[in-house]
Amino acid sequence: MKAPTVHLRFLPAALPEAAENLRSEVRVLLEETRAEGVWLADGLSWWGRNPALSRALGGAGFIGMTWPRQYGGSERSYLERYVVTEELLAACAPTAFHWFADRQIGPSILRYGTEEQKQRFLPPIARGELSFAVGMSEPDSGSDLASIRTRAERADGGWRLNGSKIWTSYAHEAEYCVALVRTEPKSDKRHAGMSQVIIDLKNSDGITVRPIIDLPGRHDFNEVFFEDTFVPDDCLLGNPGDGWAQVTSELAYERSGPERFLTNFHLLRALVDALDGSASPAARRGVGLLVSRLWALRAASVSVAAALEAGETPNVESALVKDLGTNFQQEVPEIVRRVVAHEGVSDRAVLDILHQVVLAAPSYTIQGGATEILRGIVARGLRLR
Amino acid sequence: MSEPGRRDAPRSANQSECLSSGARTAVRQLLLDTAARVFEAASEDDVFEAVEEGRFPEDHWRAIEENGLVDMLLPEDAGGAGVDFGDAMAVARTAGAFALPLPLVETMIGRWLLSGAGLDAPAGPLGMVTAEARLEVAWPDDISALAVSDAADRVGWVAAGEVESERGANSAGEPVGRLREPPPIPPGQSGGLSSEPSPSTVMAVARSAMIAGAMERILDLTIEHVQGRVQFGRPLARFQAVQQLVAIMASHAAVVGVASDTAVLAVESTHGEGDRNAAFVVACAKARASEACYEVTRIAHQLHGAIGYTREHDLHRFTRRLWAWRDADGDEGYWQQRVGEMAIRSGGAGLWPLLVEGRGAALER
Repeated sequence: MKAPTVHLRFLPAALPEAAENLRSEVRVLLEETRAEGVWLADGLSWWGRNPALSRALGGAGFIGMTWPRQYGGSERSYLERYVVTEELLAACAPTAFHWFADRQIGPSILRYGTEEQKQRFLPPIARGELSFAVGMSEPDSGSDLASIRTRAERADGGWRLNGSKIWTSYAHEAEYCVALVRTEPKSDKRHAGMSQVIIDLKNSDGITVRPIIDLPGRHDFNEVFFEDTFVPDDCLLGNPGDGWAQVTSELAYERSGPERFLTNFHLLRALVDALDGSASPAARRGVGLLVSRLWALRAASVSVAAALEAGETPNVESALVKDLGTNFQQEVPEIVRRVVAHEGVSDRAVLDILHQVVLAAPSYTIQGGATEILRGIVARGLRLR
Repeated sequence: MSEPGRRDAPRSANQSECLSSGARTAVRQLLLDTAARVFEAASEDDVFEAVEEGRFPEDHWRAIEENGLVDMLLPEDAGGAGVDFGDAMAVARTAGAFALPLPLVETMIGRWLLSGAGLDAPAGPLGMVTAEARLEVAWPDDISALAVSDAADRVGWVAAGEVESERGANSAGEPVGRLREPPPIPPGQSGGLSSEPSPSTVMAVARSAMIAGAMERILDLTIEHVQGRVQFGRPLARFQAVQQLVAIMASHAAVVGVASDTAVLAVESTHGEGDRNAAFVVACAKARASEACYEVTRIAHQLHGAIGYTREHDLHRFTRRLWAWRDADGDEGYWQQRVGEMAIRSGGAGLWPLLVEGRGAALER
């Protein structure tokens, strides 16, 4: 019997001092803006959308941190961005205004966009002034993204869009949407013929946005209909036909981040606040179960972040972190419920957050890659399929 | 994916450390190659059969000693190799990957602690007893002495023949002796603990490393099995239900692995500088490692089917040790309670700093 094969690569990683030093800067900015009434921790965490806070963060250089200075970035490392992101999440700061642009759309524009597109879109994103929505899923295309049908056909000076996108968060408020569409008819090659387009949601004809109220009763989902919507040539992102490769290349960044296990950190924090030295051993173990899992997940997530920083593409490891992280998040309210009942916690702050989190929990393991899809990716990484 | 069997030194984001970390990687690889060779020899069927019958595999113990694995943590002037704590824990992980049925980790850490307290440890394998989390010694009739850390922050040793314990066997079939409390240390055989973190923390991180190694092996055995076993005309690996289970197992094994490695870094960097951060980090790592043993062993046995529930297949050597090791040096309940206490003491506002500075402090090397 030889040494076992190492199937997955998770090296313990060190956050560099430059990244650690950013923590206090973020904390100070959040404390000051909260004191000024710019934002409040209302329990939505990063799903909350607050343009004023995003502008403050942009002004401090905390959006587009890794991008070149000429496009409004501050040429920081990915690990420095990681620290800023986790500090925002731990503070329960509402960041949805700039989140999607900062995490995936900006990096896509930087990588695949024309010089003109980079100059036009990246600086205002980095200032926290320009908000993007993401148009991926369609009514008949959920996990099977390659089955999308929204098509863009050649027109004079650009493209004509017809079809619809669904679950498009904040499409009713964002200025732009980057959508994956078919620029060629379906063929035997499932992943061919797709392209990404940048759609001006505020100034284009033929766009209808239908609100979809989600389970907790909020409006951030939409269905967006396109009827002969004109997209000029200069708003095609990357090469026609490369859309699939472009959207999948950013998945490791999207999946392994701390938003996959810190979304309801405020519930754990409120619970800890409501307990004291008189807490029963069972309550201590409940808290310890959650904190130890969270700590271990973060170790795995930081490991993936360091791999990304080193230029690797840890897609399998990222899928794994998202799977474990979102399942952890889903269990948090269930374990908190038990501790609350057992200890007779009557603190309104805990109970209110618990109520909100129970309602939000089903979404964690669906958005951004459902559990079953992620496990399929891990299985492929283990050469089972 | 990295090469089979290869483990690397921790990743450092600091470019200037590259050279020394490259050299460290080479040293570690040499050590691990030696360890794997010795442990592989000790994992033959006849060795495990002897262990099940309560016979101590003397020859293999001697090979471990002769290859310098027992005293590797000791400074060179004390007859050791002066390797990094991380290197020693990589060896512990390798021991887990071979289901090593010998008290290497207890002896290695026991001798290290005794040497640090200025004591000469008796020759031969040692048992290890700590006031907090460890009151069970392996091979009670074959060890020469027990290394003991008591509640008064002292460490010492007691000859094995002078300690009474209730004899039994652990889940892996290895003989154990269970104590009610740490035995009193005879005069002249104790000294002050030279450094933090505490012995129970050091043993817990070593046990986490062993668990991580055994999980790596179990994952490997399971992948091999589902790829080779054909049912309904196709390998088990082609069934989605099977793929999903393997993915869950791989996730737990991977997180336990990186948690254990991260905790090792924390211990290494806080050694001699106070116990606080390492105590939190190791408590989290052992809680997570012990907790994950259920899912990993459950899925491994489910996928191996009946053959895994026999002594004809190797799987049981590893799953039975996970069932023993999850309880050894504090089970998940013990460590979860410790973590919970630390979290509650830190309060809501202090919870996040506790989580990140447990690491943060560990990473400022």
